[in-house]
Amino acid sequence: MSGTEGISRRGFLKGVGTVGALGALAGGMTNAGEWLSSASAGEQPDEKVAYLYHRDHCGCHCSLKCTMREGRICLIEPNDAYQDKFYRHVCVKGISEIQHIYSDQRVQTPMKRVGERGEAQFVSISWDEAYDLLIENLKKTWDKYGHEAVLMHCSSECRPHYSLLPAVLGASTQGAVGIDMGMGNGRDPAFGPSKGCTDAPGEYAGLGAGWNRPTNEPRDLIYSKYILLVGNNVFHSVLSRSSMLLDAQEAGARLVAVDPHYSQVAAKADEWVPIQPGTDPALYLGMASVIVDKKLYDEDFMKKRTDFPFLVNTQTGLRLRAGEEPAAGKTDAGDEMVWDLATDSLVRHDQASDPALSGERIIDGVTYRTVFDLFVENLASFPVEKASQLTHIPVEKLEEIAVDYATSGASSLVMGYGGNDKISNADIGGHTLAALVALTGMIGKPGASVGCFADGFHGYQATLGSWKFPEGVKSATLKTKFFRLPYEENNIHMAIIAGDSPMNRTANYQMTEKWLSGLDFVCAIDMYYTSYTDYADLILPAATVFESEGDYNGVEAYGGYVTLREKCIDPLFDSKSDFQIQVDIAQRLGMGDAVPDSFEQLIRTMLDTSPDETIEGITLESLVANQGVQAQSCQGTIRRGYVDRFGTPSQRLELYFENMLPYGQQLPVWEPPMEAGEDNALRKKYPLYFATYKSKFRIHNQYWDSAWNNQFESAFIEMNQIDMDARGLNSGDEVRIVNDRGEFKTKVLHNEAVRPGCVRMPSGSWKKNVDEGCFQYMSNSDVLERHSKLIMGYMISFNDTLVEVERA
Amino acid sequence: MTKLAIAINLHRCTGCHTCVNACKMQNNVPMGMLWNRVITENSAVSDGVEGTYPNISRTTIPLACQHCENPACQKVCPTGATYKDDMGRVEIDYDKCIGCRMCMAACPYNVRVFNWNEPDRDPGFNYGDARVPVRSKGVVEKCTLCKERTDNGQVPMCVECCPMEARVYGDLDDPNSEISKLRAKNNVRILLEDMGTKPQVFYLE
Ligand code: SF4
Ligand code: SF4
Ligand code: SF4
Repeated sequence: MSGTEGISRRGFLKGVGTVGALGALAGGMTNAGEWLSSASAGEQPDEKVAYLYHRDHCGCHCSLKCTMREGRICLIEPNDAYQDKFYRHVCVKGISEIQHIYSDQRVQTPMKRVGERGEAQFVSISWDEAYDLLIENLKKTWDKYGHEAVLMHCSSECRPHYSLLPAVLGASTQGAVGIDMGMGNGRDPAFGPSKGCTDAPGEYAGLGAGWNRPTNEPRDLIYSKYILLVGNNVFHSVLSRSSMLLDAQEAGARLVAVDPHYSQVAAKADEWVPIQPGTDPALYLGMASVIVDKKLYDEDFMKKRTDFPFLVNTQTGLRLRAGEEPAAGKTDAGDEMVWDLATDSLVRHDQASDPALSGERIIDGVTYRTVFDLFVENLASFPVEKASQLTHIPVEKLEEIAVDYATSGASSLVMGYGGNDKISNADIGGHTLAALVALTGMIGKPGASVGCFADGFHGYQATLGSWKFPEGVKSATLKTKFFRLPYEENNIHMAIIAGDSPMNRTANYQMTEKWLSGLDFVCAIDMYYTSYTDYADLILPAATVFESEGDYNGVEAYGGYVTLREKCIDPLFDSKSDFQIQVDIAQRLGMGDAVPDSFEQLIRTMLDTSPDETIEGITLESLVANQGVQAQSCQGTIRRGYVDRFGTPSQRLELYFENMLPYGQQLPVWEPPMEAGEDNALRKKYPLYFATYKSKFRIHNQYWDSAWNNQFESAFIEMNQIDMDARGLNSGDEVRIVNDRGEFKTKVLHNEAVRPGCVRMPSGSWKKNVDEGCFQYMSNSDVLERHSKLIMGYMISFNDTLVEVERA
Repeated sequence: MTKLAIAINLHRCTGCHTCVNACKMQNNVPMGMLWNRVITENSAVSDGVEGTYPNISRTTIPLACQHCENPACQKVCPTGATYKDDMGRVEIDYDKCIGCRMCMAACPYNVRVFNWNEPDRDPGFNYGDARVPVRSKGVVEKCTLCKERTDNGQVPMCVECCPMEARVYGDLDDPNSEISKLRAKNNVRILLEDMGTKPQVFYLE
């Protein structure tokens, strides 16, 4: 069961011994006793307790109670300050930190590259040498190309920690990201930003920004009567916050899971409906067809709260307005016109008491039709039979889903970020989700919502203050999207990268490796030797969130709470906290005055300068007194979005996208996935659909070297017996996964939960976890022009990928 | 009398393994050993299934000592190291254990583990609850129902940490306890009931 059985780990801090020749080169640099004595010297064998919020990127933000004995972390439990069990949680990964923090796989000292880039040969150097090397290269780059030529890029997990360095360096820093926004790209413009769309206090800033976030928070699910989960495996992906779904089921909601594979959500749902990968938009369009055919829509909602009655010029495709067409960059007055049946006249939509949903009007010799008529006409070419053929879901089942969704009284549509969100037609799916809402009015009410339940809280999110830099100290916006850097002309010559974003947030990773190799200098800041660190010239050893120099290591506002990160232990080995690394660099650049001198000062600034009334009175002292967690004043009420209005210029749900006219997607039209479509001729060569999923033991690339989680599983691919038989494969065989972009080698396991024709794999494994290559060598990096015109811009179609599998 | 036990709601259990690592942590369980595991019924992979696609199902079963009323392990223990205590728990007196492993062979649930070597801990120190005794090479160990916690009115660590609230801990001799009420339901599943061990731990389907 355990990969380490029989190997004594007693002297667990003996040496690095990790990647390639690293151990040999760095030999003798560490000494177990030395590192530990600094933490334990003088401590009595008594215990002390600290509270901290743990991870961000699993979406759970658990506040944990940590017990230290002799200066070491011995116990990690849920923070019992929370009365509500929904918040009082920890997961398998949180507990595995007991080992992972002390892992001999950590980057222990600053490391300097000695071999070629990619060879992972490093020698240990001092912090002084490391900072000198970094600053020498910063200055070289600045002199030659200017400050913006330096990229400071952080993974999602690291970004909140690096709030200072990009400004201090005047570095380019990441813009929009191309990930987790596939459906939001098509849904959110229809809803608009949610700020101010309800008269209740408390906001959720990200809603409507392009992330397909759930319009109601998960606590609302218990009011749902029908929950349709599509490509969502929240029981593993957002493990600690998923119990709400079972509570909803116990309260009487019917759970229907649509997924190509038998996910854990599928296993727990009342019904599992298998679907062909890449066809979720067809499912939604088919549902819309049924709802329209059977007239199950909510006419009152359509008239009052959507753009269905808006009149569209049949020649130009533009909507008829009271005033001029809004010029680029000018505010849209939201002054679209409708035909008011009450007065039988043309009026502004907000003045009509009975706007017509249907009917052709000729005004000044121009023919106008309503958005609804165009929508219905559009659907006529997509009957439910077509949806059935594409999705492989029987017609009767599609009809049943559509009817149940439209007529339950309170329905929620719940997606994930891992399936169709990473396929090129995701925006069309998102746009159709908005159409389903427009038809049924399933939004802004108890139990009626839509969005990705991929982040466990999605509750209120208070706005904290931020550090004020002196005049002129500020970062620049990266002009090219990070994942497009390998493909587009850009001004980046040096990169400082915290966290393995390069391997996880770019597809076709060999191209990213080439880009990294071509940079003048790469500095990695990390706790572990992951995949991108192989390409670094310098690695700075970061401390984990449990370790800090000062008494506090962060504050955040999430899910209706403000939470504190208290110090558990001193930084281990020769690591430093992210905060300290930033301050050290600022000081060496003579900019010490531009940054706070302690994390405590930063935390106080963030709390004291917060403009948010819902956290008034919350201070560092009050947080400490309350075990590091305090609720926002609105937390007693469940957050629901778009209750009173939408955030669009007309304040209505605007389904009609004029900017998509050049692409024929002003209303959603089916389009097959760019690569994974069933009819793609490439399937002759690469017949298998390849996608990754979020494992319960990892947060993407995090925890892949966790000895406690590796007790349970390591890297592998899974396939159905049919596909294994066709290739003469047995469970445990070593296989090669191949396409034109690249290949990798790992073992294959039989799992009948996997849909025939598919290969699946937990996401994020490091190069050293597989036997050759990298899982990300296969994924699709092509982009569609259409996406660049949407709210979030280009997306990465990671899951729009075909491969072949053969015995290695 | 007191008869402590745990009920596990198999519908609420998502097989997340949190209880597995929670137990390992609390009880300072060395590498290569677990007191509590999660098995996926009739499957070799943790996210596996029974049946043929698409006619498939998955049941994850957390498995630790069942604290049997009629413990097979105790019957064969030649030294009395394994005993049933007055709270209804099956415990091991490590000082009396001679490492004969008769109990391991007798336990139909295969939940006992043996310290073949000096315990190998990663991290290399004694983590977990300070009240938990450190075991040495040559003794058998298993779930104690978190004796050190339950002696002091705390719930077992697996119960405290289960994110799905799938686990209910309590006293089966108290007719008003939640666990007693669950035990009276008709969806109770007892593992290997025909072995006659009479497990106190039970599952709800
Ligand atoms: S779910 Fe797990 S990894 Fe995420 S914050 Fe909670 S304990 Fe940490
Ligand atoms: S922690 Fe709870 S849900 Fe997770 S495996 Fe254990 S019993 Fe099941
Ligand atoms: S489960 Fe096994 S070890 Fe536990 S009491 Fe029963 S027979 Fe003994």
